[in-house]
Amino acid sequence: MRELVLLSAVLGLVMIYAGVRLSEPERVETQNLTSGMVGSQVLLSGRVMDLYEHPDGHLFLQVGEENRTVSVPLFSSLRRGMRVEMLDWVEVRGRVKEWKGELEVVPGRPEDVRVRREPPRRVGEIGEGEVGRLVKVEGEVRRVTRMGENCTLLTLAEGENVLKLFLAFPARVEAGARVTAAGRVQLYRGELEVVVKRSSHLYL
Amino acid sequence: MELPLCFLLGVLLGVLAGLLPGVHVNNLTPWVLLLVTSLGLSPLSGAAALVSMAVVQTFTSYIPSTFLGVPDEGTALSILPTHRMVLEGRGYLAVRLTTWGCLSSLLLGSLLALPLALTFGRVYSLLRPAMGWILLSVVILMVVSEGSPRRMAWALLVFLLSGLLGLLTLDGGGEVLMPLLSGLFGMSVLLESLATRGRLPEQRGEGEDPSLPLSPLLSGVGAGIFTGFLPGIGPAEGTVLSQLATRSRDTKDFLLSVSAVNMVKVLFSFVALYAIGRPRSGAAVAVGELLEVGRGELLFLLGMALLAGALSSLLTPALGRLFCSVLPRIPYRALGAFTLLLILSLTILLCGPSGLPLLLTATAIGLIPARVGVRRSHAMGVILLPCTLYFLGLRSL
Repeated sequence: MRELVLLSAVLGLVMIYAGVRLSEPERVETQNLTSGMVGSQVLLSGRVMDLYEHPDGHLFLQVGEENRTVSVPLFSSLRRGMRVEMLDWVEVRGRVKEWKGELEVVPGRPEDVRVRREPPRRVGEIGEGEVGRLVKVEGEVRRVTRMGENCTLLTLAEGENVLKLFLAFPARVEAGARVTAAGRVQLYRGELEVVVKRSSHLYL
Repeated sequence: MELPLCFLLGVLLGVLAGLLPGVHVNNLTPWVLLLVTSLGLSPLSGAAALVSMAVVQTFTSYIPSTFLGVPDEGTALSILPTHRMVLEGRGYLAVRLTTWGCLSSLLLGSLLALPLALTFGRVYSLLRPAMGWILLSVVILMVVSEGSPRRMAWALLVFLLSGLLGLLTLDGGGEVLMPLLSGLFGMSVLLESLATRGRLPEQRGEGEDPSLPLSPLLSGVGAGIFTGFLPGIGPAEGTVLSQLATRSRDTKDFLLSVSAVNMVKVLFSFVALYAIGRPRSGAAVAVGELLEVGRGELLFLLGMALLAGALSSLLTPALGRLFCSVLPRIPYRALGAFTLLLILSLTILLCGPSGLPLLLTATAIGLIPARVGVRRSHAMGVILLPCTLYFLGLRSL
């Protein structure tokens, strides 16, 4: 009997160790994610290239790089106050699923999502070399210009440096407020500006 | 630390579920799931708690079924032989035999699980359409194995009466299985014993070291695998199949076989999650909700089951010895009356007053086999007849 008990215990521990190792999710890059992985657990890491916050509290992230992203839905039941900003670096442990023909990685628990905050850049650090790139910038609002009913142009200033933020959504921002926003840099009539697509890309 | 703590929680709950009559793993599983989700524990830790609970419960449930005569689905058939051994002062040996049977079959089943898990999906899809006929064959085998036409007729009557009781009651939902099995297998044995015995003999705490005959063990493991994958066939039917295979009437062989069937059925209810993508027990349903079982997860579950089995093999004889030392000091009639009251109370608690007619009817049917000299296992018709009719397409669930 003792021998059987010992054998069971040792074999059990070996199987537990092997099982834990085998069930660890595979670390993947967004470009390596394929439909053959649907159903398996993966560990995906990358930058938040886009995010959309649903009125019900769900947060839909696009994680990856400039040319390839994967959708990561963070449902409100899972967020529990978790804050994710554009361009933050995230590591997501989740199951690969297919939703409307697109691959997505769905985490099951709050612990499955790790976020490393990307600090915003200063106004003076954004130059013409950044045109076409996604940036996160912080500054003080010097002037607010309403552009019709739905858009707003903010002028951020820092000493001598000035940068325009084009908000493509209705926003209530007062001059003097300090804001952080993420968007793509473009040249408009010879001036640099950052186009902010959604309200969830603006942090007051 | 999370994983070992969850494992130990599962062991503790398994001991409680095993020792307390009327408390089953299925009653505790929702609480474990709630704990796992509310504390944000990892799915593997939750699965560890569920598997260890199910395995430990299987080992320890033989203690109340041996000494008190209170059965669950897995231990129902073991009651008569273990009760006989208790009356001979060999209750501890009965517990050790079932512990041997559980542990050795768990070890053997775990080794067989991996190759079988890879191939059984295809076999299952072939067997599935013929399930009704397989169950019917089991019933016919059970009845014909009685030998004489008179005994076959009585066996058929017991099967049909208990089956009719199952058909009339199992659809109603609730915890009706408890009064049904307690009546058919527990109360009836207790009433017979109370009528003849005044006091339990002194139980031998140590004594002979049980040897392990291979044949009942192997047939038990085979029947456990069969019943683990197939729906509706319980450990009792598996035991009858195992007995038919070995053709042994020896009590020791029987106990090894019944514990092997019961243990392997529990183990393969988890293996079925990987092999055929379907759970075959309440705990396996919960594991399936926590995890998508792949090869790694299956290895983990088997490892947890083995570790829980090793721990149970030390715990169960120790608890059995405790029962042995306490029971002879209690007058048997008082103990029997207490157990009867316990079954009555649990019936009212779980089913309300409407459970009492079920319990009494089941007890009346359970008294027939001993009077006419046929096996009590025919009373498993309570589950088997409704399942057979369902798979033959003659009844909807």
